[in-house]
Amino acid sequence: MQEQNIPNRLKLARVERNLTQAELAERVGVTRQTIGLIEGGGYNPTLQLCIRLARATGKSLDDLFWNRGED
Amino acid sequence: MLFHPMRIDERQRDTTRYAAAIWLGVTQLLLVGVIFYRLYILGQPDEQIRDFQAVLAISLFGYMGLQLFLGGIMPNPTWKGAFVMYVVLAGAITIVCLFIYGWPKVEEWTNTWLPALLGPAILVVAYMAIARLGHWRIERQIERMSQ
Repeated sequence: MQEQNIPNRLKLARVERNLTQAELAERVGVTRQTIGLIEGGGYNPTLQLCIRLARATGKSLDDLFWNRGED
Repeated sequence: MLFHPMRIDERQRDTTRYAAAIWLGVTQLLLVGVIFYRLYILGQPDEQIRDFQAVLAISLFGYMGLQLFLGGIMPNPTWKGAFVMYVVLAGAITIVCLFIYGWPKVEEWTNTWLPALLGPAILVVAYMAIARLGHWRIERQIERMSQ
C-alpha cells in the first residue's frame, strides 16, 4: 500500500520563527534532512515528533498538519 | 574531526528497518538459489543441503513468526478453523507430491507420508500458538498502560 504523505505548513511556521532547517532539527532532535523531507511531504513524522515540532514552532498540531480543505 | 557528528532519528530507524527487511528477503532468495543450484545443477544429494534448508526454514519461519507475535493482530483460528487449515495444507502437499513423485513405497513412509502429514500439523499448531501469544502480549501491554 502506498503511504500517503500529508501536506503541512511546517516550512511557513519555521520561516515565521526565523529558524533554519538545521536549527529546528537541533531543537527537536532530528536531522536536517528529516525536517526537509517533512516540509516537502516526503516523510510522515510520528505523533511524538509532530508534538515536538509544534512546540518548537509555537504552533498547534492543527496549525501545522490539519488540512482544512478536507473538512 | 573526520566526520560530522551523526544523529539517529526516527526516519533513519524506519529506513534501517526497511533496508533490513528488504535485504533479509534478498538473502533468503539467494539461499533458495543456492539450494536449487546445488540440487539441480551440481546434482548434490538432498542430505548435503540439509544445513542450507534448515537455515532457510529458520529464517523464513522465524521472520514470519516474529512478525505475527510482535504484531499481535493475526486472525486467531478456532479448533475447527485450524483443522480445516491442516486438511487443506496437508491435502495440497500430498497431491502435489503424489503428482511429482508418484505413489511412495510403504517402507519409505518416514520420508514421504510422515513429513507430508506431520509438517502441516506443526505449521498450524505453531501458527495458532504464535497468534494466541501475540494477542495475549498486546492485551497485556494495553492493560499495563491503562493501569
